[in-house]
Amino acid sequence: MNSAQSEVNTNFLQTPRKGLGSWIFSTDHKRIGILYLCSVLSFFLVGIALGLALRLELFSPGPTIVSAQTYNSLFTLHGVIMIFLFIIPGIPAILGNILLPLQLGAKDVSFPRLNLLSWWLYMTGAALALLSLFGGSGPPDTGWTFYVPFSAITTTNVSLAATAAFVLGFSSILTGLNFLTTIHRLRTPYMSWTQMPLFIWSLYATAWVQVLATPILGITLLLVVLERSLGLGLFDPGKGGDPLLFQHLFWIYSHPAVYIMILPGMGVISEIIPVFTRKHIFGYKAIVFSTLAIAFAGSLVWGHHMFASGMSDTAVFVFSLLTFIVAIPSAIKVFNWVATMYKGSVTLAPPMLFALSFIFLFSVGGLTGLVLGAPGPDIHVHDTHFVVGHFHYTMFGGTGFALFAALHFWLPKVFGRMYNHRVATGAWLILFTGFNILYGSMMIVGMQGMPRRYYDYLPEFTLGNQIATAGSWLLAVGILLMFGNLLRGCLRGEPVGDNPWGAATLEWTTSSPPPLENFIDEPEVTRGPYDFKGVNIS
Amino acid sequence: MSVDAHRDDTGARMGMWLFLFSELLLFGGLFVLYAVTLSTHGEAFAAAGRELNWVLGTINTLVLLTSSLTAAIALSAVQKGNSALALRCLWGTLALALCFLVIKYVEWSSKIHHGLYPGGAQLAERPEGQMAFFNLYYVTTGLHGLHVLIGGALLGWVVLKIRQGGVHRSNFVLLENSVLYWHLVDLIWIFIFPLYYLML
Amino acid sequence: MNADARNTIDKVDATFFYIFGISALMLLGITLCMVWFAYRYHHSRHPEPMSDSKGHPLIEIVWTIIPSLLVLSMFWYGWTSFTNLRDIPEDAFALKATARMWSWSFEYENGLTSDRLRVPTGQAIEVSIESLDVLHSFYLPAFRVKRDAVPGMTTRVWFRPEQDGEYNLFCAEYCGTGHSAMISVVEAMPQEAFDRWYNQKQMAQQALELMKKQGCLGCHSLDGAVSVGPTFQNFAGRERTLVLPDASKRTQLADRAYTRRSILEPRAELVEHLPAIMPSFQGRMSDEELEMIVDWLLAQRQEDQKPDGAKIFADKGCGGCHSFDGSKGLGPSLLGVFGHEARVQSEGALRTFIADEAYLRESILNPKAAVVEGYAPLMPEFSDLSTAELDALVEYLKGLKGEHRH
Repeated sequence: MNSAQSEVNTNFLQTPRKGLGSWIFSTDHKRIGILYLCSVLSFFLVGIALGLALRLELFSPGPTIVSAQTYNSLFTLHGVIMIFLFIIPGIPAILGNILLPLQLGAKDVSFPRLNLLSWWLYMTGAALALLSLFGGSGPPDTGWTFYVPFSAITTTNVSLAATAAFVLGFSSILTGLNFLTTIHRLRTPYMSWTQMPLFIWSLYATAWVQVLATPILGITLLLVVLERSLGLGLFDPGKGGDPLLFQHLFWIYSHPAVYIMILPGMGVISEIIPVFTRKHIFGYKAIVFSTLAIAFAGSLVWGHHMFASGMSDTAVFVFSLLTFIVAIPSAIKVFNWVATMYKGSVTLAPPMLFALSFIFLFSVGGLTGLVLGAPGPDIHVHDTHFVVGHFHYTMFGGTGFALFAALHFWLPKVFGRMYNHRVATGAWLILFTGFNILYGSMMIVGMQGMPRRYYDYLPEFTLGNQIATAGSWLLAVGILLMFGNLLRGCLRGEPVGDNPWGAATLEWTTSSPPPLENFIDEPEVTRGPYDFKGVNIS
Repeated sequence: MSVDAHRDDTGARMGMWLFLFSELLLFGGLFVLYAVTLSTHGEAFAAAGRELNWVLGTINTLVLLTSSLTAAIALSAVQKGNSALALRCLWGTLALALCFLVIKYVEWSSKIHHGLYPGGAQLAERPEGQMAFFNLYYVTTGLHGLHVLIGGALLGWVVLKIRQGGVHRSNFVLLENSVLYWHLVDLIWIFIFPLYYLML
Repeated sequence: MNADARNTIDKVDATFFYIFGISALMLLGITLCMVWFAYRYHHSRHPEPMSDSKGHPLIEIVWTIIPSLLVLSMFWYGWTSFTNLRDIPEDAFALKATARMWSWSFEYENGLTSDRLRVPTGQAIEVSIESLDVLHSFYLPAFRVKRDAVPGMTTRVWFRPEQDGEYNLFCAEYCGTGHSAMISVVEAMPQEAFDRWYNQKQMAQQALELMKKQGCLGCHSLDGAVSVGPTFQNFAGRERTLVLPDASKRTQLADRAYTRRSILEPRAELVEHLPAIMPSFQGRMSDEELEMIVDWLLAQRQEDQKPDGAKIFADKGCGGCHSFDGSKGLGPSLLGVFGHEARVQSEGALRTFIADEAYLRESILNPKAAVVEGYAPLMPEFSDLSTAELDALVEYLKGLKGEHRH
């Protein structure tokens, strides 16, 4: 074996070059994925800390730990960090980067250097977002939605935060186009479109939305910055503008963005359920079509955020109808996942527990979404804690739990080591319980009529808020325990073989951790991604 | 391992097209704003549009169209191995780009001189619709101007690459993508010109 | 009850029950299946999968069509409950709500203004909503009603309070520091009580004219001046000593019965030290007119009429931007504001003013004319303050002594 060959054969964690530089300037998709893993999860922890502070403030009516202005900045940053730094890049940037070429049987993505640029842009955006905390007249206080006219007149550092979101959007676009090109061009010739793992399909649909919807957010935020700096006034009724137009433009991106967030999560679940039931996924094509249908129809429903905004009734009719139509493909997915378990052989390993709780939490989120899609009831619960509870069920209970499932599923592949299963199961139980206490009570308080973004509230909402806050503590304990266990597993866990779960997609055919160029020999596609006959756990 | 082993021109082209889509949507947001504001302030838009200098606008349109032509010729020249012609054409494109920006500068500065700019005294006295028109005009042409600059820089870099021999008849995807980008800059102007200058 | 006695609650709640009901069943079904499969087909009981099914077109079609029909029915209920919210009854009682950072004010068609939304019970109420600055949202959880207040446009909602009582009114669209304090109350009261409140100015005017016509004001002053008879000032608020025909004495606060008696049989009980010269007005005015005068008299209660500056400061939401402790908010702190040197942007130039009374007044009535250096011109004009209220507010600000910092 000559030296060049042995370099190719060593795993990607141990290339000859060492030190920070070999990571932050690496164009290897797996290393970039790990860069994202570290940075995204760090910001997730920051976001959690902010969320805990918010809940603590709401433990009792009146001032509890911070002032009203600070509270407003806290929820703004919680939103900006969780949306733009955690949940949008979460699954695609971490696991998409690591797995996309592996599952396609490719050596890397189409544009490795662009991929590295995306990460640098992500870090730049993150730095700008953090910078907005300091200087000027204080951290932004507009909420992550940056609604005008408030965002145009408040004296806080809104421009910096908006610029941060703009840069992060750019990073997201570049990742999207990179993935699209990779899926089209670098799929191993032995793999047809219908042999692609469903996770790839979900990344594919997501990438289209990223490429096509994000620029609208970019231009909208740019206009807010210009409105603040030059007095442009395109959303100012005194200058011939219209504040409702901002909301339209904002949601044209930000509603599809929730599909950017949830679709990859659904893809993860479609991978995990078959592996732990030892059965082919039920309705592969139905899941693919529903993925594409969600991405397409989901781009046409943004107006359901605006039923109370003063938008015309005709628009309400159309957006409500389309919103209900988007519910159908999501339901189809859930049915197919559950049906996959029928007559299988189920193992309740940690990834499966997270995946099953995903189905439950996402169903709660989706079903409460029906109330929000129906304009009459939506008027009552719009902008209340019910909405906050609803989207935490879909985004955190959905995408968040899918990410946790994915980390438990794939980190052994990436690091070649296994975490402690019993601790993982305990953490899951605490997390799941805390989650439902927290967001369940939030929804109830919202039904009672407590508006969101309230620093102070009337005494009748006290009980619900206190239960929610207690739930947040449980949730935080679960998360810390889970991450601690995963971290320990990655660094010092028991070494595992190439295919510890007995999965059938291509990434499990190479070694754990994978070699520098993913596969020593060109991988052959000898079986479908969900054909487990003769697959051995190793 | 050489870069060539990973070379995928079709992939590079596909990536560029996707990027151009997202660029179109960036401007799309502004065109949507234009359409909605036009529907509420139609007459004010017409009145304000007549104040723009359509002669300069037309000249600029011709300038950009010609620059696109020279860029296209440059690409075909490289494909045929005629690097000298390609360089001459690209210099032509760059000169025309500069010409476009100079004319744009003249237009803007005459308007700004008259107090017609966002936050300007003159503009503040205009009817709401006209304020919206000029505000949109500055954002749209400003953003377009920025794209002219970026496109010009990109082509300038390709000129360098051709001279160094990095771009030649069997490896011209960098030039091709840059020319694609330049066509996009041209295309967007083709929309901007009638919407703002030819308002009737 | 007239034919159109809809409310805004019933249809929305019915839709909630319908959607939640179906959702609960679906969730239960999905969860039970999941748990049952995980138990029944657990690998310890079921080591090998018993099926290699990859899907079934018919099943896919069934579970596409059934949810489709369900969601379409939900859509229809949702839409009709929404149109009910949008379809304002023609006989609705109209008024205007104005939102500003961070308070609500309500204006009635007769020009009456209030910071509470007083409405007659049983009547449909139409509210036209406007905003003076940023987005707000008019939210009445009890009536399932919400609509944004958007600068530059007027939005509308309606509701029908069916029981007397107080209902919360929230701002539901985030609007800055004072968002959660932007709360008011809908006060639903019986039609009669509402009419009395609503027509208070008009009734007072009519009562005064009537009394002038009847000659009451020849002997009774309005302003406390001593005249032939006791003054009407603070009529309902003071105790008087009455001398009865048997020369016994007692003290009396004016109630309705006493007031009627004192007009109809004025000599039956005389206020001490006053002569028995007032004639009886029995038969000289209708009962309605008498009631009007009695109402007016009973409303003459002199409390401490001076407005409370601290209360105005709180009611108008001033504290949302201005602190008392020298800390910087959206606006400058008011600690030691009186008499300090203010550096302000005014008419495009930086100027220095001594913050005297005139300056404070001007900066409340017309805040954009001079904006303290380093702050944005955010503050709305409070030109709706009465002179007395403004005096009280300025007096209050003068009392905030300390070392001023910006």
